[in-house]
Amino acid sequence: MRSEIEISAALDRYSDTVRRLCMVHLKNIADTEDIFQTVFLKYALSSAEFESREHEKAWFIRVTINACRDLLRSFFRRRTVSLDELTEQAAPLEEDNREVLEAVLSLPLKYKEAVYLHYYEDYTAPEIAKILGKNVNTVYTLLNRARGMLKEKLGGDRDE
Amino acid sequence: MNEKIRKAFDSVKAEEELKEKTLSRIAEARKHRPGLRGTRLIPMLACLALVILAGGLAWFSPSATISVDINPSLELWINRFDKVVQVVGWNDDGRELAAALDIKYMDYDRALEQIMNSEKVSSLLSGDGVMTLAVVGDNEAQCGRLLSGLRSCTAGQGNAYCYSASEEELEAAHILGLSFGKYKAYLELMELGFDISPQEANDMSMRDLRDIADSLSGETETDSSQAHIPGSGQGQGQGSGQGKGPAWASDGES
Repeated sequence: MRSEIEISAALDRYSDTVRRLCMVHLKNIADTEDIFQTVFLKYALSSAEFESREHEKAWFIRVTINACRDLLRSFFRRRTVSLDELTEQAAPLEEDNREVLEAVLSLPLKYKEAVYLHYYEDYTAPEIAKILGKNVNTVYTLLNRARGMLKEKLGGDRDE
Repeated sequence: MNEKIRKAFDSVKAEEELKEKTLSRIAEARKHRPGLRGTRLIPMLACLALVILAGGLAWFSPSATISVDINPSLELWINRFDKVVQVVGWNDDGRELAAALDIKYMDYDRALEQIMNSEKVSSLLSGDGVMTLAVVGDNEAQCGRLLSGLRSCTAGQGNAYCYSASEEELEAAHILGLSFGKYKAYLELMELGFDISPQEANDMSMRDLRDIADSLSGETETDSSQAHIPGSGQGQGQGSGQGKGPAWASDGES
């Protein structure tokens, strides 16, 4: 079991990441709270040793994604909510940000997972493949298709 | 688009309330989680205790017996690691010798050396004393090893006889209150028609018992009805020694 100092430090470092991943995957604030707490509780009780901060961050991402997927697989939790409700989970957003978030969150799960990890967390396709347990080529395909869908939704002002 | 996505997700932050709730839940879980002091420690300690117990049982449980008879009659209880775990005197001399020796947990061969070097036994051996050493046990490999070790230890002794015997015989000896060597000598005398009680046999030296048996055998050589043929008695046929030893310890080569 980890010390309180370690847990607080991890919360400072990874709480936003875990929160964003919850938003990408989950459909209501209750589930988000549940998964958020579960992930940090798992960390607190875990004795896993991390080689580096990157390793530790990847652990949080993987654990969060797995916890979200497990929850989504649960029949009783499968509820749909509107995109408005989804973005309302977060603190008040600027209009531009709301529009982009809604566009990303409207994508099917497999695309939005890849988009978040690539565009926000800066993971490469091979790294995403490792985290999501997918083939690298599949990740490239997902990213390409997601880019196309987002372009359609948000307009063509790509600045890559 | 990259920058827009980055900016949009950047605006999503974990709420302070969510963090606080999480810390409380972790604190609560820690309070109720016994950790190594509870659920995990108990099975671990139980396993450790079992290992120690099993090891202790193996260490302290005798798996073979070496019966030493000269006149002190004593038994060395040997564990599976060939260490002496108990020394039992079967008559007064044996008890006296057992009390004087410090051979517990010693290798059986070193223990035997100490017995043979003790004042009482060495003086008997350097005289005309007869010593019998019997190995009793169910583990054939160990008994074979012990017997071979005893033969090496007594190689220089003219009147020492080593042999192996069965658990049943040892139990029969104990029922009569005798060590194994004395029991076999007692049986031999009974067979030769000599009237002797187990207690009397127990108090006599192996040399005296041997002499009576020899004299009876000599006497009865002319009396075919009570003749005793060396090597045809109750012995196990695995004995070895030098000189004229007990019939039951003979393998025809002594």
